[in-house]
Amino acid sequence: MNLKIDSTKCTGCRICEFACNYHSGDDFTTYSGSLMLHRAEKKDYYGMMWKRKSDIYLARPEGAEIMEPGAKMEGAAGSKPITMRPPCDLCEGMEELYCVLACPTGCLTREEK
Amino acid sequence: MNLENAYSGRIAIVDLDAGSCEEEELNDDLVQDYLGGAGINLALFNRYASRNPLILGTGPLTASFAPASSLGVVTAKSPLTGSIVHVPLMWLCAVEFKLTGFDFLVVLGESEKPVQIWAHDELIDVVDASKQWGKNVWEAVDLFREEHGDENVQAITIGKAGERGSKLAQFSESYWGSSDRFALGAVMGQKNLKGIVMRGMGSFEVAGGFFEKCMELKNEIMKEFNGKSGVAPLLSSLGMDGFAKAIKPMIHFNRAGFNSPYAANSFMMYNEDPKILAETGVTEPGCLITDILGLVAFKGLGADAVKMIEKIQKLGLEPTGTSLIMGKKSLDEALGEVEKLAEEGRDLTSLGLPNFYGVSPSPISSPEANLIQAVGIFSPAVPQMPLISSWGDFGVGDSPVEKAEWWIERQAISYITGICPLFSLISPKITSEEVAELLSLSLGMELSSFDLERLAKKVISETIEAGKKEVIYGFHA
Ligand code: SF4
Ligand code: SF4
Repeated sequence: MNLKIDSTKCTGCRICEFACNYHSGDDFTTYSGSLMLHRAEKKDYYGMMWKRKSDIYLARPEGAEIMEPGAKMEGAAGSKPITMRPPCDLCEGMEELYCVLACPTGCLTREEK
Repeated sequence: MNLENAYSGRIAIVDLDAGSCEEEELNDDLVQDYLGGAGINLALFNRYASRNPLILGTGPLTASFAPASSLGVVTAKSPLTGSIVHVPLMWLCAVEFKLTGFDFLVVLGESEKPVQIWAHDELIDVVDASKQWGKNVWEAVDLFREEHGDENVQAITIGKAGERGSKLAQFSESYWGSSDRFALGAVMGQKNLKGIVMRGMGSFEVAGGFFEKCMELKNEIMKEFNGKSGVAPLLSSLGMDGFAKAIKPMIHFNRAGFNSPYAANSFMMYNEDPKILAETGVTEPGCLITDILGLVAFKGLGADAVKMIEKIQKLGLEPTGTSLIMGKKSLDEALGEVEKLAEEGRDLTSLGLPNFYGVSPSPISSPEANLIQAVGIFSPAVPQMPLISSWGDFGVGDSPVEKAEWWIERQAISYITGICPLFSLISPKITSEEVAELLSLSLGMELSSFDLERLAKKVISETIEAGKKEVIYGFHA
């Protein structure tokens, strides 16, 4: 099982960030989830950053990019950088992926493989 | 009551006369009596009525897993109508504010110098805003973000129109305008308040079963849309297929307010190819349309309406009144003229144009829209009819009185609880029963749809009463 991200379907509603935190921390916050929405609001450029065990997956609308560990990769200044966040465990022990459950658009889907 | 699932429990009181900030506890009694949003805003307004208060509030469901939980409310006395009015925030400001650790903000008095209120990490300060004063809305938002070093900072801000106290001023939710049809932007201007600026990284507890219940409801709601998204289907449901077709080629992506299952906003690109996927090198490729009736007001310009909206967003002007004054002017003429309009403070009444106590009539006129505007306490920027769905889907009868009463009450419930009031006109699945169930689960108290409806009626009549406007709510009476 894996998580698949198609950023061209993202509306920027942000609820996946909170759902991931809820899976790991039981509260409603964005502070330490494995997903972070990148928003360049004025240019309407939205992408998803996904912290995985060994890298960071940047789901950009024009295509994905993988950042290796150690790469300088910040979220918005002021929020906890994606590099410092716990990696995605694919919602270990849960029946569903919480971010997929929450995403209303099909931007995040569960891929069986 | 489990207040911690719904609120941080803090009200910030900012006195601009003294330049001081205080904190007050949000107590159970206030929540018992008014629940939140427009209800508690009103109670706070009445408490400080002699100090020209401007209140920013959130509902118990704002910033939660509840679908479309994006709502914030700004309450103040409208310089246009003299009434106490509630204006919804439906983009990202309310959620950002609530996560700062404050649930309500009361702004009293007037500052001598231009200031901003900066809320973050359970702290609130009055900070100099001379750098932002004199700048247009977009420049001001950029400067706020730069100053606080964070791209995700949100700001309720004003442009030239608000600074000059224009009767056509509107406050803006970051770059993209707002539902302010009541000139509350001018109230901010009077206060020398350039912006309420926030960055929220707090957290709330979540009641057991709440997440699952919200997901269930969201999945039910999603079945209603059949892949529809953005402003084009909204225009079609207003009977404007042709206009929808004209603007469609400019849509880059459709964007949602916080946690909204329906993306009710569309980003229009006219200075860049709207098919671009990579980040554009163009600094200002277009603008986000968040105010559907504001766009409709400029329908006469065809697809160029969006360029007019960008200009208006920057100046911090209210689009429907502006469009009435612009009449049938061409885009170029109108673009030149609105600059002057923002400076001069002309208004509809003095120009002899149609208005309801100074507020422009809805661009989509109907008997129920007129009744709603006569009551005049909730923003008429939210269309006075169901969107995508039909009156029948909501079980509303044919008479204008019934329609108006339904709209006002449905808006009230949204404004009190924290659900986006535009979304509540899109989805019949957001019933008062569902909302009451979510609240009962979250707050750990028994609340029925009957309780919610009764509270909505109370907030409506007390708001009218507070503004001492001679309108009797309850048209049947
Ligand atoms: S799969 Fe689970 S852990 Fe991974 S990003 Fe989604 S919610 Fe977070
Ligand atoms: S939940 Fe889905 S649509 Fe919303 S921000 Fe996350 S990925 Fe985008």
